[in-house]
Amino acid sequence: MRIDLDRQKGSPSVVRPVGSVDVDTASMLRDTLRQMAEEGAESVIVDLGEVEFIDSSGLSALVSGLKALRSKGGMLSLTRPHPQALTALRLTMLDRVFPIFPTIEEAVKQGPSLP
Amino acid sequence: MERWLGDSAHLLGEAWAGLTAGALAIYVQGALVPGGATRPSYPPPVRRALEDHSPLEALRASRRIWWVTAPDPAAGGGVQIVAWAAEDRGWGTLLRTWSVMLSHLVDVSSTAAGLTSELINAWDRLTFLYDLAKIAGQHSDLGETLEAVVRLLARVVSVQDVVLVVARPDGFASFTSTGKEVPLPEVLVESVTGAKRPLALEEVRPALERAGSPLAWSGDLLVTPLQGPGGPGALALVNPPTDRFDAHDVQLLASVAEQVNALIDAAETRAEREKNQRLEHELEIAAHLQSRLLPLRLPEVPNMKAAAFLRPARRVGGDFYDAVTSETGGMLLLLADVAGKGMPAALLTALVHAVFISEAADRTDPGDVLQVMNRRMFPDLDRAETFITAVVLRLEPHASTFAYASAGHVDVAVWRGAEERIEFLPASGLPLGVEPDAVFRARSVPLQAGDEVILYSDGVTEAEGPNGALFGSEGLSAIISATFPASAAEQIQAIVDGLDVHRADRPLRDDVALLLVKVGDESGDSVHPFVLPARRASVVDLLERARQAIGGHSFGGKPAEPYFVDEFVLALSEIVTNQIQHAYLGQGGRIEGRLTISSDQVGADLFDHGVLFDPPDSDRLPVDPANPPERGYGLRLARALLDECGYTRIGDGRNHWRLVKRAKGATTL
Repeated sequence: MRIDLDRQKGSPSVVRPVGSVDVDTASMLRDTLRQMAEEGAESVIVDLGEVEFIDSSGLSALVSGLKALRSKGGMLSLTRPHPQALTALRLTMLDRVFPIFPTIEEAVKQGPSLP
Repeated sequence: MERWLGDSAHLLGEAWAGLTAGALAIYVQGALVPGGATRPSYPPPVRRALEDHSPLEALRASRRIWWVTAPDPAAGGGVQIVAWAAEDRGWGTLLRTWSVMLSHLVDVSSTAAGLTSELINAWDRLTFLYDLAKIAGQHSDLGETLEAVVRLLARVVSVQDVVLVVARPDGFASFTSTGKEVPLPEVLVESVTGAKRPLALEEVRPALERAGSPLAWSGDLLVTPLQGPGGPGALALVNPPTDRFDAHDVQLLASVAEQVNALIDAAETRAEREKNQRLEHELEIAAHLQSRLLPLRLPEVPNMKAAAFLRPARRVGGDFYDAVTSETGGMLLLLADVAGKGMPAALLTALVHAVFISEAADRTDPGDVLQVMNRRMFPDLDRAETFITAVVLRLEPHASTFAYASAGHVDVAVWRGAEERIEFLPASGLPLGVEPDAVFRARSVPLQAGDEVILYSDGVTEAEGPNGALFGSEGLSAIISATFPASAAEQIQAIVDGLDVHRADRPLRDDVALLLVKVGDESGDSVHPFVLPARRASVVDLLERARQAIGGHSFGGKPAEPYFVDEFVLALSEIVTNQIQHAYLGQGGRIEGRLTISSDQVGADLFDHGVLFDPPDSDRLPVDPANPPERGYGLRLARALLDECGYTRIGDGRNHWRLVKRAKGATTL
């Protein structure tokens, strides 16, 4: 897995993991999200459009990131999950925890107003 | 430039290429002699050494080893040799000798300006050194090499006799060009001990005279020390009084001695290598012969399936198995373990085979088989001061019992399919070779469809893990119970895999023999047993195997849906990861089990030997969106993806996970 970052002033940062977010790679995503929380990012979008596989370690990394951001007053939303990721989020009921959007534009438009 | 110089460049280049697979170039007063190697681009240190007329020894550069010889200050020729090769076997000496000889040739030729007799002489000596270098490659035996050396030396320097003495492990060996025996060879060696150069007759005469060596009264004598494989040696030239040795002869003898030392060295190394190769070759033949003693295929008996495995700890071993079909259509199986390992034990396995096949295999009672074998082999085993443990098993088609007898062998394992438990049956007599008249009683044991009988050697149960833990009968039972629905051959492979995982990287210390017989029809399900080290890397392999197996299967006449495969593999991944992290706390261990694919569902049974799994109750509660937990999603996912996800702690300290996903019960999408 690799992680692409897109940070622009005045708009939410986009974190884009590419590949498989699993036991071997999840800590990289967790560390990236915590780092952004430390740096005071308010709104972060994790774009799952390039994630072909996510397991429970990947889900844990997303929850850790969410908690870190929330504690600093920020928030985290997800975009473009593949069916496998969506199944995993639904089965663990994390689809009720993360705002999930079909496109990045919608996440940017609606993101900041959500809990 | 003289034509003969080009010839010698060519000659030496050829000799050098033959010895080192490299090439060389000759320079006189800085000018390249045509006929040598085409000049490559030299690395800077080589170029500098050539320009400064300084020597360069075995420099590693440009993926080659380089040498540059310095011009001989005593000769005016200004000859330098630049040579390169792929490796260095002490070639520096040879190059220096060649360089000195060439210098003298150039010197002589420039003063005499023609082919004087001295030049011819020098040329002969140069070709002599070339011939000497070639001898090294022609003989594998040191004696032959040294004989060739004295013959060649006598021919070239035309002396009365050449005497070469070397110390061998079993005393002094001497070689002469005349073929005459050298009296008191050790005296000649002692006379030059400690000398750094050839000594003249006057210098060694007192010592030779004192010891009574007739060489003291030679016409003239020149002798120089050698360093042989078993200690010091000597090389001497002998002439009549009318033909005295001069300075050139001294120089020649010194350089020849250096080369003879190198030849002795090379011949010794080669002899050692050839001896090892011969031994290795003999072992290979022995291993091949031993494998030929094994039955080509195991007997085929209705309603039964047998498989076997043998792996010696070394090339050959003392474990052995044999099998014959009985007149009644049943099978008689033998598994034996000769005490000890390697060749001595292997030789006795041939005896076991011969006696079993020729004298015992027609007996119907396993106890009789052992009794006959013991009586027949006792004298040999007694003389060899060794013994053999063996077990003989007799199985008849559709019988409700089997018979076995064991001569001090490790327990026979019996898997009871109906109850899913294992039994161990003890030995019924002494090992073979202990008592000439020992009695071995056969025991009859009930048998039914679904049962398995497993014969093995102690190399299985006594295989040691990294912490010294033995594989044990527990290891064997664990693998059998985790893989029992698989075929006999697959189960044997699983046991072997289990041993490999248990040993980790430790070497095999004992021979391993296994024989397994399954009774009853094989199940219609597709069963894939597996044994893996509790490491992430092996999980990836398991998941890929599962993906292939399920993906290639059809359910209700239709190929597996991709999401169905994905979801099962994700659940499997979560459970195995859980075993690695929680049961084994990431410290490694062994996970074994099986995938079972039927027409309407996929199942996995996974066993580990780690700590009890005790998840917090909160893992079963729904996730609170306001405060979602950071861990514990693995089991939630697996439970949600599967139709069945059960965990049991088994009494013997194992954890059992049972995963089932039904093809129709797709969870989502």
